[in-house]
Amino acid sequence: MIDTILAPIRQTLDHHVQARVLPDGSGVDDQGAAKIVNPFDEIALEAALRLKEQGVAARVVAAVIGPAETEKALRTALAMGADAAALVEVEELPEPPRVAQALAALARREGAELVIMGKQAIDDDLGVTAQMLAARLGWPQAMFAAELRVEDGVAHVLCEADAGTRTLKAPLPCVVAADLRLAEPRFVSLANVMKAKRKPIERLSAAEVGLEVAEAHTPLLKVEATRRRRAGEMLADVDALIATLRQRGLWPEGQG
Amino acid sequence: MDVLVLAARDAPGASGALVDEERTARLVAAARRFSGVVDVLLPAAADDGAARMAADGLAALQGVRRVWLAADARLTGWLAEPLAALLADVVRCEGYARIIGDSSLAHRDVLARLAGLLRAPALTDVVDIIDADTVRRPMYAGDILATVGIRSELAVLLLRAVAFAPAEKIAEEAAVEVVVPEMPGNLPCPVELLEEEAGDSSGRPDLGRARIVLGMGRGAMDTESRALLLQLAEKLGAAVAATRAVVDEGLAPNDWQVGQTGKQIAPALYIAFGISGAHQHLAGIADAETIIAVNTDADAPIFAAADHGLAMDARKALKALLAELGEHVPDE
Repeated sequence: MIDTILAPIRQTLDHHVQARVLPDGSGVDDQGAAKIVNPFDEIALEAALRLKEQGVAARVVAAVIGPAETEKALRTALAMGADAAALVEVEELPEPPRVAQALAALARREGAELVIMGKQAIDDDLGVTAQMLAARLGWPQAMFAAELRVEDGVAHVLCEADAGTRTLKAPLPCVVAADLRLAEPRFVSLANVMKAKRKPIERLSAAEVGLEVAEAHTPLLKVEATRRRRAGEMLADVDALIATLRQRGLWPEGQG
Repeated sequence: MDVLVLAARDAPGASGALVDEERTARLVAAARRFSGVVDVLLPAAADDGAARMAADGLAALQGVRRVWLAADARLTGWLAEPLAALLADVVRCEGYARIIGDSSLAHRDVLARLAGLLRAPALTDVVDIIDADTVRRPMYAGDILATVGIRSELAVLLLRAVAFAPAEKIAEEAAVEVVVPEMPGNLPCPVELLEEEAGDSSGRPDLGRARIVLGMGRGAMDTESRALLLQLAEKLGAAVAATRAVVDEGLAPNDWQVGQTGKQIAPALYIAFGISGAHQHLAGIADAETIIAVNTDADAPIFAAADHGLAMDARKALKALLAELGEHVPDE
């Protein structure tokens, strides 16, 4: 049995909410907007909890690096069943290389033998932190995991690929990044939500995980809303649809 | 600013080729905007005929100075640990300032790890290179287009290849040198690749390259509609895409998923069957030239994102289209 699984999570804007641009175009207005646990991190946490329930791991530690308000995401993680929670409080979310650095420090501090996290956060859509963390730790990585089994110190991972899948065998310790099919997050009961409110959260300063204030390497210079509107011309029937395709030379001729 | 391009990987089993030359040509053309030398690295399991042929093809791309043919059995299957370690070695020795790849899963796996090894930032889904230190990329499922500065000497950029026109091929005699780098003895190989399953495309074109793509959404989420959609795809020579809901339901494999967390496509025509138009899905089809939506719900948001709409049951529409093509379809 392994001792600890680290499940880093991010808090993101609720994906049902359309991101709004600040009037000066300097960023996204998320004040007062609904926030959720990044869906891929929630899947990752669920996978970690199942490993614990299978007797593969002794405990699951959820961790957040973010502003004080991200404590809410940790409460959700505790309500789902995480045994412990760590919050590294920073004013602003650091860039991925520094998040990876902080998570590496946390993984060592917690004695984690496995890190399971989402393949990407649905706000910045970067999807690079898990790989950077694995590189930092010098651990193997299994990205885009769809199935995970841990046995005798080895992770057997079915990974999504550009076409089809790959089956990897990665020795622990390693980093696994969750894709959509890895697990279905459990329903959290109200009783567990209430219990989670009383569970302790370990608070760490940025310095305790080696984070120093640094200039941004990839500053956001400007953001714009993009959605391209199209004509949305309604067609009367299938014949009109075929006529449209024919016009564009996209309908096979000489048949039917 | 000197650039190293990682050759785009061809889907295993698709054509037996080592490299997706067309996609690599797009990366090379984009890399030339950094006005330095452009070298391409091609990983291969061995220095054999197939590897040489692939390398020669890349050497003929306009703007390429050198092709590194990294031939080593340890690079089989593009496992991230050895390949990223090798790339880090090459980048440090040659002093490249930008490392460019595409936004495929294969490249995300390897190149974000490389960025981790180099302590460099990595930006994915880059759709525009404004100058050597400024790029644009979508965020928030494509709701937002961000202009991002690069304030570091080294950076890894993963491009959406379809957003860049491909570099041309120049005459063979102008082709540049192919160099086999000396392989480090200590490449880390902790992970074993047990199996690489190519997935079942039944001869359909690749989603990223197909001229026509048929999309399957919640309103076409039954086995009959699925069969009709595949039949129509075959007649039109189209690829097939699905929304997350359909993948979740197990009616489509993961590699059909198009959207924020799936693939981004740019076909000449996208026909959305029974797709409501959640912005997560729209993020993947924004670059389609023409979008046609078929959905029973005339108020579905997909119609605002489409060029043409047809308010009709997806299954009925599929049947009517197939009948028009002389295909036998069961009666209602």
